[in-house]
Amino acid sequence: MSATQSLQRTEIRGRGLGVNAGELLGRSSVFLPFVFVVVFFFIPMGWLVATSLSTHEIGSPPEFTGTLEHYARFWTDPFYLETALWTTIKLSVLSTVFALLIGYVLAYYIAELPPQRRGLITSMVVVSLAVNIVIRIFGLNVLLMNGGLVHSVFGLIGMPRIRIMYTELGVLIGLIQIAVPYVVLPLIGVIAAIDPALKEAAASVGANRYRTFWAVTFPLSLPGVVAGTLIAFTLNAAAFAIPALMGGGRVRMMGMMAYEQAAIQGNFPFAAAIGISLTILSLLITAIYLFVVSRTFRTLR
Amino acid sequence: MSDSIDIELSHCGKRYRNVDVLNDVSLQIKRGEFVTVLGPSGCGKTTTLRIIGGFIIPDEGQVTIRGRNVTHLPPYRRNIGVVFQNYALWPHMTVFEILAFGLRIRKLAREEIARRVDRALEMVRLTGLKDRYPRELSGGQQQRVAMARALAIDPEVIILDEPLSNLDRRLREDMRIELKRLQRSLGVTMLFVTHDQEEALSMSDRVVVMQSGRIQQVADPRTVYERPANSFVAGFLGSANFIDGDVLAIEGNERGRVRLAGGSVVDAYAPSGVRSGDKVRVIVRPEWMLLRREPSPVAANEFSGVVREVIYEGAAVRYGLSPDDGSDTLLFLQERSNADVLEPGDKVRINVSNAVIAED
Repeated sequence: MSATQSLQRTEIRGRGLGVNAGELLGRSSVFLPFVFVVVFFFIPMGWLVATSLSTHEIGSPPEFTGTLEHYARFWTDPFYLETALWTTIKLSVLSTVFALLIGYVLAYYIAELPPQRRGLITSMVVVSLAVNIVIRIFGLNVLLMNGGLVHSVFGLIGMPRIRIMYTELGVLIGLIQIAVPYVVLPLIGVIAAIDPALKEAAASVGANRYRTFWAVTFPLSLPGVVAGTLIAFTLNAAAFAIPALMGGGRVRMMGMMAYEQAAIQGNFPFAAAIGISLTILSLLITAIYLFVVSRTFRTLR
Repeated sequence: MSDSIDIELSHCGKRYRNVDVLNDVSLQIKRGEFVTVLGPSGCGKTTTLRIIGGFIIPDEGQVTIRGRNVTHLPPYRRNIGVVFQNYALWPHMTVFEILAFGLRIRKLAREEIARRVDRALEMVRLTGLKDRYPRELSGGQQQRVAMARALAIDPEVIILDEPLSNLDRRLREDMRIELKRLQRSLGVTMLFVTHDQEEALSMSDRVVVMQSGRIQQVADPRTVYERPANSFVAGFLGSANFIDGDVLAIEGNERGRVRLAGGSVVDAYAPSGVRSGDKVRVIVRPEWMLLRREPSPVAANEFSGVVREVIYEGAAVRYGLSPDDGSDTLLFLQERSNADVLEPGDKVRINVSNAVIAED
């Protein structure tokens, strides 16, 4: 009798231990990523905000005083507003729009392929992401530089030999090239998941392909459009490598400017203020974009 | 109901990778008719429907709708209402927008669109839900919206691809009656595809039974059930006993006498192609027999046997019978209105009241 009792107790205790160990594992599996995000994202961001609110003295480390002078400098000086801010908004929005146009056509084509071939071409898009950005830029360089392929072809067909490399156009082409795969990937999944019967139903009530696309396929692909364009936009708004390597110092985007202030001028507080301003700007444009999309297509709640 | 032909398929065929999914299918459907295409999955019934809808172009043959050759016309130039199996309601549109879509394409005036949407919703008895989205509707309501969308464009014919198969049993039975009522009151030609034999028998003016890409039989529900053309049709619609035999004689009026494998002789319906002396299969449905406890006076079309299995099902009882002549076990169905329930081992006399000689 007592032996049975003690056996039961052991069992209960054993089970209790198991639950605790499981809970511990369960909690830590949430806890550790949480710690990671706090340590490697929120702390540096907080440090950056604090730096942007510090005074800058050449030769001494930034001293936190809560000053807004760096923000005031950035947001009032026409040089920064017209050059950096406007160039950044213009190039990141334009590159996103073009990446969407090119990416949508590609994604639509890929999504309509039979599944096996779809996988192959999708992996080609993924591979293009795997190539280092600097290498891709040098590839573009060869194509676009004076005397390069595009230049020569333009000359041959009698078009003016316009300069592309080290101009805004060159940077724009670079940004589009980087952004297209980010637009294509989410779109392939979303377009391929649209039930073909929905398109057939549109055809059955008299809609031709064009009408079916705008009434059914495009609205249903909007989640992919939004995801792709948001990635492309935030990536390009913060672009550094492309304006640095393809702009030749002439095309000034905010990411590059922040780098210059920090690495060349040694003005960390001002660099931080530019960085934070860029982040706020991106968030603001994103918010406006999402608001407009959800208002226009209210049914995608 | 006039006698003009609304849908005509002549010698339609379709191959995928050298496999015939449809083989020489010809069919005429009259105006106002309700025709069901019935068959197991892969029999070509959905291909047939999609060819009529214009979603598949046949490799050979011709599709004519109200006298117009539409074989190579895309779906959007056919004016056919389609009800899809999963309803295919556009999730980003309200019920009103879904029904109005086809009417806007036809460039109707705003008031006319509103009027026709209302009328279509009244037809399917679904009013007051115009501003709902499909996901806010029950399965039955979605089905009605799909039906209303097909009706709203005032189509020449309506084709339906297993429209009731996603509903639960109770609702499905209600919708059968509803759909049939609608079809009759509007006089619209409907082609209905299903794998459910009960659906096909209870709703149709005519049933088209298909297998392996070919039409096996086209007839009214009573004929396909009671005079199945071959053993596939007999086996697919309900259950059937198949007994091998030899035709002894054909006696005018399509009656024949057949000696069954075990030696017993029965009368059977003989289709016109059957000749005296042919080796044939006789189809006997479980409810086409009567049992009598032995001893009873010997009568025509009878043989004796033993009850082997008894499966009680409430409204009916199923028996497995072993004929004394040593032939295969027969399935027998007895309605429970009057008779006693027999026990395994009981000796009985089996009276075949109806039998059909299969054409294959």
